Amino acid sequence: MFNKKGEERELSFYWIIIFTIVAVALVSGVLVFYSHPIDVRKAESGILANKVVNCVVHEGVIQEEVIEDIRNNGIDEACDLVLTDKTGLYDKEQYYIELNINGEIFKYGDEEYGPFCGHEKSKENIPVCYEREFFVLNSDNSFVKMEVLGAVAKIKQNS
Amino acid sequence: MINKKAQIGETTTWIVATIVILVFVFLFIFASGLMAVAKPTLSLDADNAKEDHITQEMLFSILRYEADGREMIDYLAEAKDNGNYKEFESFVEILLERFEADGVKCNFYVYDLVSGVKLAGVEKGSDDAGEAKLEIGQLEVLLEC
Repeated sequence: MFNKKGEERELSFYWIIIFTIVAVALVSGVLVFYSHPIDVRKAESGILANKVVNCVVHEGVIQEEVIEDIRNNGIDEACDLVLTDKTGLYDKEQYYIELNINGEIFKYGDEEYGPFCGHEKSKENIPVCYEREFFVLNSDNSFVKMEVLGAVAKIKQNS
Repeated sequence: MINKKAQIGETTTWIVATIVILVFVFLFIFASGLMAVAKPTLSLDADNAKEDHITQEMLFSILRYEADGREMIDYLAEAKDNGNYKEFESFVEILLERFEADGVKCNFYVYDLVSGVKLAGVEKGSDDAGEAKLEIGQLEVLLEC
C-alpha cells in the first residue's frame, strides 16, 4: 500500500514535466511557424499597378479625360489613391508609381525607389516592384504602348 | 531489494520515454521552422495570379480594334458563323507582330467552349506576365502575354 502511493507520486511528477515539455513544444512550434514574415509587397505593387491601369484604361481604351486629370492633379488625385503610411514607422513616402503613356511619363511617390526595380532577386532589403508593358487602344483606334511600374518600399516591416 | 528493482525498471522506462518525447518535440519544432520557410507566399502575388486586369484590358483593346471599318470582335463573330478563322487570325497576327516588335510578346487563342477544341491561334511567345479569358457566346478567347 505504501509503495503504491509512492509510485503514484513519482509518476505524477514525471507527468507534470512531460506535459510541460509538450505544451512548450506546441507553443514554440506554432510561434516558429507563424512568426516567419510573409512579404506581400510584390502583391501590393501588382495591385497598385493594376489599380492605376484600371483608372486610366476602360475596356481597352485610354480615357483621355483621366489623362488630362492626371496632368493637372497627379495620379493620386485622379485615380483616388490614398497611399499614406499609417504605421508610423517611416518618415517618407513608401510607394512609387510611374506611368509611361507613349513617352509621356507620369510619376507619383518617391522616385528613389525606381532604380531598385529589377534587382529584387540579387539584393535584399530593397523596394519590391511590379513592371508591365502592354498595348491599349487610343481614342483614334491606334494602339498605344503603356508602361506601368509600381514600387513598394516598407523595408522595416520586411527585413 | 525486490521493491528497488521494480523502481529501477519504472524509472528506466520513464527516462527512455522522456528521451523519445524530447526527440519528437525537437523534430516537431525543427519541422515547424522548415515549413515556415517553405510557406508559400500569398496567391495574390502578381506573378502567381495568372489572370490579371492589365492583360484583360489588352484583350479588350484587340477585340475592339477596328480594321477596314469593323471591329475585330465582328470578324470573330463572322468567323464563327462561317467556320473559317483564317481572316481573323491574319488580323490578330498583324497586331501581335506589332506588339512583339515593341517588346510585348503574346499568344492569342480561340476555343470552342463546348468541345474545348482550339479554333484559332496565333503564337508569338508569351512573357508569362499574365493571361485573360473572355467568353463570347460559345467561344472562349484567351490572351497570354
